[in-house]
Amino acid sequence: MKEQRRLVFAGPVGSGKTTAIRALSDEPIISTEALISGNNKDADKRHTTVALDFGVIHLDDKTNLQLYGTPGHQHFDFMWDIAARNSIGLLLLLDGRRSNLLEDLTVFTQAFRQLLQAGGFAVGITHADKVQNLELLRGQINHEIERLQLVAPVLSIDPRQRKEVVKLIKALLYTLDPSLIKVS
Amino acid sequence: MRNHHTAAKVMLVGFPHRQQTLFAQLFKQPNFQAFTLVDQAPIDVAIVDLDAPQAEENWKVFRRNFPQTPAITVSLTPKEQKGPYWLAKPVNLHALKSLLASLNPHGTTQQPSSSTLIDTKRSHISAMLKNGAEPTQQKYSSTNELSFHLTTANSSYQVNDYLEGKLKNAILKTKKRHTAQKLIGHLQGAPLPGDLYILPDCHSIVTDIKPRFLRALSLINLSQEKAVFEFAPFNHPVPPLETKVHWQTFLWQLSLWTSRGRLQQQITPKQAFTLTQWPNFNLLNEFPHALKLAACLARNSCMPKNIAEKQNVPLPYVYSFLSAANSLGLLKQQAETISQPPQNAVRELLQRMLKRLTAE
Repeated sequence: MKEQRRLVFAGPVGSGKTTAIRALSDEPIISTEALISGNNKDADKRHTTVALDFGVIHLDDKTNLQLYGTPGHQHFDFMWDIAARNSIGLLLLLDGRRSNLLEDLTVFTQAFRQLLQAGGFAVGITHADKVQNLELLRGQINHEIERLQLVAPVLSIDPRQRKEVVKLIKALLYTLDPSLIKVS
Repeated sequence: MRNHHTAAKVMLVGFPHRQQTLFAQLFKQPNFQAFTLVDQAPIDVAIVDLDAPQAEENWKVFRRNFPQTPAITVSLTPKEQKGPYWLAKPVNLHALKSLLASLNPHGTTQQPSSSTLIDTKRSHISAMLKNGAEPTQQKYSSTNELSFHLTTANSSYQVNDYLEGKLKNAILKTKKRHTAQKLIGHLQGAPLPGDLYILPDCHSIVTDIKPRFLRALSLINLSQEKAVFEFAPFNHPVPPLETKVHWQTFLWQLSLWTSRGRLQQQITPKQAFTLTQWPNFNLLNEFPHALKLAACLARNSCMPKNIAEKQNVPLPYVYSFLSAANSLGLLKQQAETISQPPQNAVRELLQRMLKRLTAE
């Protein structure tokens, strides 16, 4: 039986968690999406994750890396703890279009604080092409991360682009252990 | 089909793996069928990379083993010449082929024509202007590998003597005044090989200057060469040009080209530095060791030599990283604090993850 390790993707609704996992997974992802109803309707987004998204990367013959995507809605936050158990780190995707992005950062870092103490943490800014001043936004996020006494890479990413998501994960890995050796 | 009995045997010395692959592809082309790449004696001609980190040692070993074999040396600047046959990087393939043909003992005997040799006394600007007529297929930042200056170990450069410094200051002005700026100037009286504008609204640089020229421009020391680069406010509509990139993307790459493993003079090697924030590597050239250096300097404050030793990264990469990070304003001087590496129970797993992700 293969060893199963875990990596968690979190972030608000529409930040691209499901897309990122879909871009990474070696297998078709298992998704629990439902139609968005009521006031949460967004022109760009018709579905939202209500339980968990699940993908997998086959690291080698011995190990699978499970990719868990958490629901973005806070009323599903009981799922966040479940997803975070035994995870090696957190990839927090923040939607660059949201005016309350810094609040999102605070909410998710607090919700996953146990994981952040034990594992690594990296931030991806999605929809960065819609951000008027990316440098300024990155500066604000970094300032907030520093205020929370955390250390994390903050990269803009397009979650549809596998190589950009991979780069964020690699940044997370080096944050966990800078002495890792790149073997090509 | 290639005739290996009469084809000149060419050996590459000191080239990184990626460039060796490119040469291998090149030598499979029909117009290079008079030559074949070999990796051991006997050889007829060698092509030696003088920008390689171990170039001096490579050259000595090569000359010891092949004292009589003609060698074509290639490098970014002419001053590192080791013999009569030298070509500027990026190598003009027509010039390379002509030179190889002239040195081919199995071909018709002819001396290298003066047009295929670039006189080492000519300035870098002249070499660039000569190459200027050649078309280029190179894309902007097409490779993430770096090339280094030969005397990296003790060398530094004054950033304001280069295009990098001019651009950095111009970007600061653009941010402050919110007006577009245009690169103006000349190279020994000749016009610049294209236009370049800094745009305030989208934090971009637009240009139609080819990457090979930009790289060459980035190496011109304005205090030593008859060249002028200045930025002036531009109050007209900026024409659409073929390349548009974020100004951080552009400045980072320009800094890597200018640094070539040297340290900006503003960065004192005996002081410790830390990163104020991670470079945004989805916008910037993630060259070898860059993620490792960023992770280390985001957590620690280190002197350049210490980080090179601690992380087992060649010093030129550390210098290039620090120089580029400084240009982007990401570096902060701070008393040295090196934390112990994490006693990571999952290190082996992380290493396997990295291997799997790097293999893509």
